[in-house]
Amino acid sequence: MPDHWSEQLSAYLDDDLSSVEREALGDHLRSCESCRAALEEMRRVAEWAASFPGRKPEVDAWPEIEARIAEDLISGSKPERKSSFWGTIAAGLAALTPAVGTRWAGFAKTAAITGLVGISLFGMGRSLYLERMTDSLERKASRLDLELASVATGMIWHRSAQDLRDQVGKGFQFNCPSYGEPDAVWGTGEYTDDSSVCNAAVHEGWITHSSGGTVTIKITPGRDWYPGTSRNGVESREWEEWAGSFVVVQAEPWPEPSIEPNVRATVSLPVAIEADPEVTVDLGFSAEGGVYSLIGWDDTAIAFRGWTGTRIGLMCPGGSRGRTVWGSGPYTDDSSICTAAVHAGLITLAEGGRVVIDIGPRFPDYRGTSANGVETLDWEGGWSGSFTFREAEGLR
Amino acid sequence: MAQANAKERLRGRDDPDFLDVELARKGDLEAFGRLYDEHVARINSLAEWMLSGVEVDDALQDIFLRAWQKIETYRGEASFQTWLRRLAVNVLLRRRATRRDWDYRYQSDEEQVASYASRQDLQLYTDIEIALRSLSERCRDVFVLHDVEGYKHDEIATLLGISAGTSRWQLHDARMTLRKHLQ
Repeated sequence: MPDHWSEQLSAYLDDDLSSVEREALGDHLRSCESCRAALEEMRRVAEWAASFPGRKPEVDAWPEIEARIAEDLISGSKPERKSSFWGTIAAGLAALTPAVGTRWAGFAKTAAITGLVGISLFGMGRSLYLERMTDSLERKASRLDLELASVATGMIWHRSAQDLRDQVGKGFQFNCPSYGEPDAVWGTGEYTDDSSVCNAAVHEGWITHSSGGTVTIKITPGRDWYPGTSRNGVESREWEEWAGSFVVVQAEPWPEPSIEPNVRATVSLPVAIEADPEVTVDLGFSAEGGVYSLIGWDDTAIAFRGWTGTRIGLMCPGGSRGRTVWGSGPYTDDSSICTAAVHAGLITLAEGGRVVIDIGPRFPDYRGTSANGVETLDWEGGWSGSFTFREAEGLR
Repeated sequence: MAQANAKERLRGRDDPDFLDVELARKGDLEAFGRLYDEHVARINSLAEWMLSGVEVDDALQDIFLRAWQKIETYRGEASFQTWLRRLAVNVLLRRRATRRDWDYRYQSDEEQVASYASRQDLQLYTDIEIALRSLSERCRDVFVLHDVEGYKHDEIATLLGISAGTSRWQLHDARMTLRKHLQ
């Protein structure tokens, strides 16, 4: 079913179309036997999923679970809820961060943590209480003399600070490239150390996904509770006990890209200084004044719509089955860029590679073709944004 | 407030798990074991779909351990099954988000299927279950969360950090692929 009606079948099934769209598709269904068959098959798939009873594990997990629960009961480590009053105070003080500056926010957080320790005295053993109080005092001592002990270059927005857990009290700097990706964040003001560092800086309002920037964090000990809040377009989640944390103490956004119609935009992307040892790809490749940003196979060019003439260097990781693409160059801007690059013969699914796209305008029709093992789809009736490829270099 | 709580408790009595949940809340491990027996199949399948094979056993333990730890907070607003499955999704997504293994994140689909095949005897599985496993991770997530677990697109968007529109497209792609494998 190459026509655009088929694209709406799933939404039709879920009653997720406007009344006008629903009526139009209903009319089409009366005359399209293959569409009716597809709709019926999709309905059966949804029914199968809703009624699927599940499969028991081959090895019964209960003995192990029972043993772990018994262990917890003996050691008395079953979590106890913190007072919601102190939780509210902690969240409220942390929320002051942008208004009162980092140093005072740090103090406020410390005070809130101390409060948590005090109120929890009745619910924990003496040694645990003393341990946590010591932590609190150490935090106070290190609050005023943040030392940038070393510099880490975290080039990717997925980078967390978990591997820095044993560096409590030290500061680390991360380079967050422009046009970063959202990723998970837990906490407010103080974040679990497995949170995305760059996204925590966005949550705090220091930088934006489009600007990126240099972000300095300080490693702090774990906490019993991390409040979740929605700020600056990032939804942080709540989490209870976690073994390591960080706070963002300073960040400097990169200059926003300057965009002029039909002129190549200047997009500020940082050159990576030092590769993260966990990531074997080299992001420091420079061409035409830019740097190739790592993207995923689901990523499209829709965020750049309207920036006709902008040229962007991107890098696709290897190993994918490919995603949906409309057109054959120009491609619709909601197509998978990496898959389109395979279709264009520039990279392969297995190896990925570097590509450069030019953002294009609206085109009335996009014609699908089959090339290099990728079958792209037709799109008729106009699509408001497009992209084409300028050049490419395969990654080895 | 007390009256509202009483109403919630009464509403909970329609839930077939009500008695065991009440016992488990008071610390009855045997009752919690019965809840495990009742729900482990669905939770196990969910874990198999959202994680790689080697992690499923650990994740299953984490989910039920966390359910035991959090059962005091279960208020009976939804059925226990719904509460447990939502908790499971949170634990699974959390587990995956904290796994910073780049190789896994970009593991090829063939490798993921091979990992699945090595763990399980695929002869036990229907074509559609195997096909579901061969979908891309994002596509499979959206299908499982929407069609199996009953999440709405805006909820999925928040959970997975994608737009609701992307969620709709992924669901469409998944259903279009899976329909070919119906028996």
